[in-house]
Amino acid sequence: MKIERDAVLELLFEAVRELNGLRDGSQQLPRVASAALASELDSLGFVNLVAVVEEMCESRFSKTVVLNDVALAPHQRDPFETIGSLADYVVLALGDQAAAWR
Amino acid sequence: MNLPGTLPAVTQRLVEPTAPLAQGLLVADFNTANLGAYLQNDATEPQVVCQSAPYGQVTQSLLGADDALWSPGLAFTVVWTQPEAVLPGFARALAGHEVAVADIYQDVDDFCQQLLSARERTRFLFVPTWTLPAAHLGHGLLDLTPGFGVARHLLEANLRLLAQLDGHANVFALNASRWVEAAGDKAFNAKLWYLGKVPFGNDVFKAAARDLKAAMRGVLGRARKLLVLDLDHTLWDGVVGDDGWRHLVLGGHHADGEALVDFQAAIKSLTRRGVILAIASKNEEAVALEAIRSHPGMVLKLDDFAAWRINWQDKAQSVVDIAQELNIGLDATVFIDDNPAERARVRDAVPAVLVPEWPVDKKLYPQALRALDCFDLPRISQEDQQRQRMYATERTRNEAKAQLGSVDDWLQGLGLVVKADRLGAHNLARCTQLLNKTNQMNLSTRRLSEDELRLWADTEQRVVFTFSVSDRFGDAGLTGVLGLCLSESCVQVLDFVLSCRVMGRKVEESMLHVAVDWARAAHAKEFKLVYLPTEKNVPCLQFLQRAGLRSQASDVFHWDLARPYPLPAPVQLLHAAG
Repeated sequence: MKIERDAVLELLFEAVRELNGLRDGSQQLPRVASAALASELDSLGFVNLVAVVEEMCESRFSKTVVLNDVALAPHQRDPFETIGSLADYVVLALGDQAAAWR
Repeated sequence: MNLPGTLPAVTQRLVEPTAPLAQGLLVADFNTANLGAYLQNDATEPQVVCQSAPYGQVTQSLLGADDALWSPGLAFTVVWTQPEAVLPGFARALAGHEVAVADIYQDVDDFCQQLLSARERTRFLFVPTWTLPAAHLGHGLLDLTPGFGVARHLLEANLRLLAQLDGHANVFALNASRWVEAAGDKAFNAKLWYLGKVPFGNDVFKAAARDLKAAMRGVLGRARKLLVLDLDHTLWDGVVGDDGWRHLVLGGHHADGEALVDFQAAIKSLTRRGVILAIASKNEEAVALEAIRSHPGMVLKLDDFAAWRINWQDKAQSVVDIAQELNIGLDATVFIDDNPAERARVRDAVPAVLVPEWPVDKKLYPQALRALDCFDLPRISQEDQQRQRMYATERTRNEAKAQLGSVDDWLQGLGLVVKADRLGAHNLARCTQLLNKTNQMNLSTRRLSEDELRLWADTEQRVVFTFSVSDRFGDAGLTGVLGLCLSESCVQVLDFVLSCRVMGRKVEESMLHVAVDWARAAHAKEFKLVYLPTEKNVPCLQFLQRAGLRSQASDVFHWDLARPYPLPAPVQLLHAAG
């Protein structure tokens, strides 16, 4: 079953809402695809995001994805750069094509 | 107070002004950043700011190795540990060793010694009980056996912990199992643990933050104490005015009827924790009261309600009228109604009243009520247990008052007995509760914990008197507190606190009589009260202004110690032995 990017984006927006519950009112992450992630998250914020997204993928799509040990070649884009880039990566990972990430 | 259709200015004043942030310290063997974030982001009172001690350094933190952690004015400290981190015997049991219960107890005692050494450095100390991930409890029949049973050791350790913490006034255990159960299979998160040293899923921390906030409100005397209930479709299903009480759905072989009986039973159990009940219903009063008296399914009886407004007026006005009649603040009031429009009206018109969202399905009513944490108290006093009866008695008393001519005649007929006692272990908890909950007849609104009050009173130049009040209708219990301080021949009244339940019955004058007597016996030359105004203690100022005291400034009142302050004629004053 192919999982659409919109469905993954929706999941990520929910994850960001969860994450915002842990953030100060002035540091809320916007829930739009272009919102920066990597530059906004500290190490625990990153861990919280990974845990929430993996858990949601498991319960919503019955599929395990592992996001905390994404191995990147030097020229590759960081999947956590924005919500949109993370959605693209998760769509690939859910389709067992994480290796195709560029 | 009358409520027009739009939000009146007077109700806006009832919203608490922004209070200073309460400083908190989180001590744990794990990363508490997520808990701290949920506590700080929770919009409910009290607003807090949290500092986390370095994780994994519980002993060092508790023993005060880092003074910077224990800032003066620390409002609360949470010490949350995993059992294997602080109980070496338990860690051995987890590794499969046989461990004697005596060893577990010794470990718990050692840990409690550390805990209790920290209690002097914080106003309130909260200690969540120990839990374990379900994966650890998978040894079948061995789990509950002596020596090897990990689940058994966990129960033993928790019971020992509770026993060791009992009796320490500012130390409170919190039931962490509830948070873990509520989070279900998301309670423990291996990923968060191995990547961030966070053992629990965030649903556990959310539940913990909610409970901690409720606990803080409880110990600060901010628990709600009045529950105003609608009738039709709330206490019973149906419209009594249309259907007649015989056709209401309540009890019997009906799922909703059974649920409503359980709902009423849950409400009744609140009265045993000191919550006062009242009714605000749009109905004909006689018809509704007949239903309450006559329907066999009614768990709540008429005597369970301290007041009611059963009429066709605005519900918000009814709620305000009831709170005024019972002398209970709107910020201590909760309103439950099945009708979303009525809830919205009360919420808009009287924002200080808590109006919880309410399920449509009657079968969910009991659990919706039990989920409310706004009534949580740290302890239950005898007065709490009897409060509902006292208010019912008050209604009878007021009915008698209405039949009599003058207030003096009424007071004379009451047979009022005021019993003065000194502060001691037997009344410390109730005395502290009164000091922290009373707003109206309160001279200085000084808020102290049990330990702080005991320490304050523990010098020769200071005394705390308590006053219990009874009359021919019933016993109101300990309802007055007087804190006096002698300094350079001047006795100053620091605390003059009286429950609104007995205000206006000459108890105030009786307390002044006792205070002046103590000052004269101490050969003081001067006796004064300094009124510190708050938004709510105007009744105290009004009493001081009519009490025959001399005032030089608007907020300082004196009594000439050459003569005693007269004891009001209708009052019989008793002094406790000793």
